[in-house]
Amino acid sequence: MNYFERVQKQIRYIIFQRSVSMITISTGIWVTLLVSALYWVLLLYLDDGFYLIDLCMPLGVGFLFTTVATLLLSKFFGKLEEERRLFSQLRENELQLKSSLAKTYIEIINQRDEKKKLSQDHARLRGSFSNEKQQRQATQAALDEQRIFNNAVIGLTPDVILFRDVEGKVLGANENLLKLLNANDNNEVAQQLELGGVTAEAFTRGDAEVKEKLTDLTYEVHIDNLVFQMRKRPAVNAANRLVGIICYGHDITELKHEQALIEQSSQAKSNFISTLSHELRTPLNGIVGLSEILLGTGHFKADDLRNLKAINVNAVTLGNIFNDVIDLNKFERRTFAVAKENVPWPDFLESLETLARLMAEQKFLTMDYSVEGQGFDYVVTDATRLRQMLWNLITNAVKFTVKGGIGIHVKQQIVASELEVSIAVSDSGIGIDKSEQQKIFDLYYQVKGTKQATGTGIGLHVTKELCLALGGRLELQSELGKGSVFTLFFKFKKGESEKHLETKNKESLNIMLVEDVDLNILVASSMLKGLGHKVVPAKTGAEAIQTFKEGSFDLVLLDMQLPDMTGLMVADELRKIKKIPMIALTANALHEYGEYIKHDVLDVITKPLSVKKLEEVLTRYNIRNLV
Amino acid sequence: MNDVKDLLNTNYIDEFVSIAGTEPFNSAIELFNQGMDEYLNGCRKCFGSCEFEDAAKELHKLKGAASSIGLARVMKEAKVAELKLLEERDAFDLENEICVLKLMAESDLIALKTYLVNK
Repeated sequence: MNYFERVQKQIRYIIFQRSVSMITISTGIWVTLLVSALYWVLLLYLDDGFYLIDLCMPLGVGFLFTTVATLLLSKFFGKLEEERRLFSQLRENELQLKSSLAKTYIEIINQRDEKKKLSQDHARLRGSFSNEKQQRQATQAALDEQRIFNNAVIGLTPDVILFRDVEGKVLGANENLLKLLNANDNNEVAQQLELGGVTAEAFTRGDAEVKEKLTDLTYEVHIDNLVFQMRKRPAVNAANRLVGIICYGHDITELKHEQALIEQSSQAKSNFISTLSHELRTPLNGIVGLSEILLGTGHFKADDLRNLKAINVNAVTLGNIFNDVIDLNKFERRTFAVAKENVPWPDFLESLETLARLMAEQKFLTMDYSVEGQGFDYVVTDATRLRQMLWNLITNAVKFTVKGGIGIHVKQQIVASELEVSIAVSDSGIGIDKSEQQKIFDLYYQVKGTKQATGTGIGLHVTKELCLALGGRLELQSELGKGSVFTLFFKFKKGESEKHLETKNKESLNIMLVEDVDLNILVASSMLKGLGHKVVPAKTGAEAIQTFKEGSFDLVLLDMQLPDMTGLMVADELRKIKKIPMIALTANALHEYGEYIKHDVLDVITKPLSVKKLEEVLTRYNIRNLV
Repeated sequence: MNDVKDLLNTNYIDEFVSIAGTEPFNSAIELFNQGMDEYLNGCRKCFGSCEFEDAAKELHKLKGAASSIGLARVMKEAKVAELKLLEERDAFDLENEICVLKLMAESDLIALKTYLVNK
């Protein structure tokens, strides 16, 4: 209650009190007067005399009574009012107390709720803390196990392991590395790396590249007569920030040695096969050639003619078997290459028919031949290999047919300046079971249980490989007991006649010249451009690789000594991108010829470059026609 | 007096000039002059640091450069020097060889220019 309310209340109280007094007094006066009047009337009626005392006595009593009443009533009402005020005050206090109590109660409830919530939070935190503690303990245990495992792996591995931070500071070296470098601890390893030299370079090579690109790097190094394959990996943390470099070195000395032995053995085998083939082919060519001459004379009787044809056919067959063996060897050594040329197509098909008839006649089989559609006069393909494939298929058709005949059906059509050709070689022979139709193209596989299963077992395998090398496909349809159809599918570009070719023989080539000496670049480029070729120089191995990727070249002339890598290393990298003819340019013959061949470098020209030497090489490898 | 065929690879020079012309050949001669000093200085520096293989490589480069412009005698001399340096190493008299090569190149270049003018 504020001051004004209190004043207002006080004023009301005073007015009330005065009002009660006024009412009591006025009531008293009127009652006094009334009673007095009645007394006087009564007195006058009953008494003879009216004295002053009779007049004053009722008034006096009345006023006395009024005064007493007024006082008493005032006191009474005052008390009453006071009680009422007190009561009101008490009520007010009670209300205030109640309100205060309610507030306190609410506060208590809130506090209780808060306490409960705190208690729950506490319990949850405690639980969470307990979980976290358990998790941390579990994680720590796992980390400890991992560390033990890692230490075991690092300790047991035969490899050398080096871990350095981003600045190159040595953070860890395993026991094998310490042994290799004759060091006792990381500090001694660090000292050796700081000294520089071959050993340090072995571990620091390519650091900048690994740090910049955040990719692995693999390379080979020689350390103390050992060969290591080094593998570098950037160590990045969870935030993908580089924290160091790990270097693993795996000793491949034995492997290299074995590889060299295998290569040696393989080379020896290749040489043997090449030599043998050459030695055997010469007399074989004699047999084929002479038999063809004799067949052309027409001097023989029917029986003798048949025998002569048999000699001719068998000699050609033997020649093809040699070809298969040589090509198989080339496939294995990945040195096989097709040699496309302009082939007179109608003549090719005619000779195919002639040969097939000859073979069929030997076993008294019929030969059905047809050509459907229009073709080019000349096509670009490897005629020798195509002939070899078809010869294999025809030989098999005749071999596996006892009665009936064989067929050669050619379908061709010109589509968008290419000749689409299918050549189907069919027979009415023993057929091939479905379960064996895929396997028959496997090397050395022969269909079991057939008396015809004689032969090298490589013919169909080589045929399929040759087909793929020429960009074609080979399909088989066969039914056991009914016969087989082997179909070759090719797309040939249109070829040109020899006359037309002569004028184009000196066609210009796009040549990449890899040479670091400006003078040599000037001289070689001037000469090559003078001959009508286009020349793009590259002065380092890295530049050569980039230029090769971006350009299209017919020939690479490759210096053997470049600032950043050897010519043979460049050759290896270029080979991975695309196989095109590469010729080494060198002042000295640095390697054995076989070494160049291993790296797919066709030949070597000694500097200075001369027209004669260049033309010799271009012609020897038919480089213009490989373009 | 040396015959010009002893000093120069005339077949090569004739072939080059007939195909590419004299202008690129003259540019090649300029490049050779610049390169020769670089190779000989480089050789000297490597030799001084006992890096005999690297010193020999500089002579090898000189040999290649000489052959590129048909200086047959300089090429042979550089080839012999390269082999001798690798064999004799610090016993090799490099300074003397450098003098020989420089004099030879100077004289043979005059012969080359004369030959080109007279062609």
